[in-house]
Amino acid sequence: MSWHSLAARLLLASGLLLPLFLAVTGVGLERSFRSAIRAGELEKLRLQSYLLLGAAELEGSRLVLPDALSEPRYTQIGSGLYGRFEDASGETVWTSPSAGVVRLPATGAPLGTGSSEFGEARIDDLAHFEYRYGFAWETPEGAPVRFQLTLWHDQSEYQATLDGYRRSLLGWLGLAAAVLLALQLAILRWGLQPLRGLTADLEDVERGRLEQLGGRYPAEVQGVTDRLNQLLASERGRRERYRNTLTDLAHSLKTPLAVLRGALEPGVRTDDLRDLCEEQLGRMEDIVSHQLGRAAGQGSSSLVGKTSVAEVVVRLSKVLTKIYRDKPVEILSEIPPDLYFRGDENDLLEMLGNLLDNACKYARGSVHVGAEREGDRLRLRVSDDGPGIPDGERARILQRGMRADQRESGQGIGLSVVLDIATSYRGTLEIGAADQGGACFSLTLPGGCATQT
Amino acid sequence: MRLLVVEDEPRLRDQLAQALRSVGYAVDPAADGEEGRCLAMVNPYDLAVVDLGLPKLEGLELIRRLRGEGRTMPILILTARDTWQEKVKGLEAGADDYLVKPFHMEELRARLNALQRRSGGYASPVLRFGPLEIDTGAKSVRLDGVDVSLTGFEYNTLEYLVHRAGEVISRTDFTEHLYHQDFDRDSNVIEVFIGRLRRKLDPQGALNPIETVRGHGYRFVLEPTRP
Repeated sequence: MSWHSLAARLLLASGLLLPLFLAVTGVGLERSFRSAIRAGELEKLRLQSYLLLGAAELEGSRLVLPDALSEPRYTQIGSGLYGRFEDASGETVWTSPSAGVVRLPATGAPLGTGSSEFGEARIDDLAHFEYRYGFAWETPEGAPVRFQLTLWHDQSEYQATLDGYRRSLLGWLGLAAAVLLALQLAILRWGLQPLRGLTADLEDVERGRLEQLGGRYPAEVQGVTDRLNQLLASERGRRERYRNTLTDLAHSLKTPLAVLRGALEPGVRTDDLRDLCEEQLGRMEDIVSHQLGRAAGQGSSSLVGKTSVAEVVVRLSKVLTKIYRDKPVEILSEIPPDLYFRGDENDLLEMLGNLLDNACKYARGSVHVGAEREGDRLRLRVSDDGPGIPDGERARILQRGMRADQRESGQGIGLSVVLDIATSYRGTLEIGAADQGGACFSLTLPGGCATQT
Repeated sequence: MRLLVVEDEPRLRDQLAQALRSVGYAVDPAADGEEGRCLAMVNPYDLAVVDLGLPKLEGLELIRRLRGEGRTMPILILTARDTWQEKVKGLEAGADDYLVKPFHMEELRARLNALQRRSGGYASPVLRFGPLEIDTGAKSVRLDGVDVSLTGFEYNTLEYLVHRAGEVISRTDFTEHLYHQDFDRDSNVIEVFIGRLRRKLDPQGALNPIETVRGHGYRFVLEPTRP
């Protein structure tokens, strides 16, 4: 699975987060449970201490306990519950019989009256809780006698409870992890379902079973599918145009080929044949360059970027000045620098190149090129100060060039290329009269304007 | 005029070389960009015809390198693609003109003529020097309105002198720019041509169009007449 996969990213994220979350939960629960049962243990030992204190009596300044205590574990040897009284000097005054041969650990200096301490100690290498309590009783004479009671209780019971708790905690957390992981996978599947649907739809489009991505997609991918649909539509249009161009090319080449084949009949004079060849070859060349020109532009894909109109005009002006070096033609442009053409740069080069070339060809001294924005429409204007085009000619010039073999040979190929490209952008080309007296070609491209941003 | 032709299609290269030699160019053909560059490094060309889409060194790159090395001769591009994108790229790389394939040899000759004329600083194809009139398009010469009959070599020698008017042209310059590589460079054929030109262009000895700079070469000294 590569890291470019969404599922892999989400799984990795939850694979890292889930154990972390469960570990923190586990540690927290264990801690609080342990401190709860320790508190329980302390409570138990405190009760035991009251029991022993209740049973003890002061005889003179000596502390005496009965042989039989209500808690049998004090008398049962090795029971795990031990008690010891010490006097103020630290001398042991009583040890529970349960201690037997067990060596009870020494405790520090006796505690002050009324204070207690809870902790742990090791007896015969076994962990025990230790509870100490300092107290003072008064002799009948009224003299206080200080004592310390220490109780030990072995931890095996506590440990067993804790271990049991840990085991069950681990079990539950494991179960929770499994359930969460399964849920996560289910959510992933459900969440990515539309993308799989999109892939399947795209496959259908690829195999030709679908024309467009038709289904409803989530808002997050709707933008992508809309764009894909645009691309598909423009691709389909392009394919159609290619097919038309190819058929058109083949058909239009057939006529001159037939003429040439017919000319090879016996009895034709060499000179005539030569002229005929020359003429038909010229026709074929025209057809080929016309179709090539059409193929060059045809890129009206709505996904292509934007092109600075002023930049294209500057490039073309430099080139045309080089080409028309012998002719004193000046190209004057009035184009806002922030005007952009939404479409293919080559298409703009081709359209403006042909229009400017024509203008330079017919101009006497100057060519004007202007561009302006009308909403999202781009209007380009190329005018010259040449002889101009009479009214009656204008429509005829624009009609030309749909089928190469119906077109007059010679000049005008450039204009039909402009017309073809403009049409592919759903644009229009109009011919009018320029202020300077020559022809004015204006090209309107709807949706052809793009802003800086 | 020495001319470099870089074209990878052998048939077209031969046709070009033959057609251009027939109108008096000294043509060096090259089959790829690298060969073209090597030839341009050793020979001082007056013109170059470069096809785009060459093997080894692409046509545009060849032009860029030639310009980068300070070569200023006019360059004409031959291209199969009739798009403005292609033309703009070619002319921006440093070419001076382009011709789209297929083309007529006549068209190529006219374009080369125009390029050559422009590089000599003449705007019109007809050059006038007082009574002398040279039509570079028709490759004809008239003196006081009367046609002067010149051989191809004589005309080429005159045209070369005129295109570099005011400069001293040495014998080496002549052999390098006017004749094919197999030409016998040691012969005194140049003196012979100059002598014949002087007799034909200046029968009375009044005009003196070609001056001899002793030990260096020849110089065309007439000032063009502005119309």
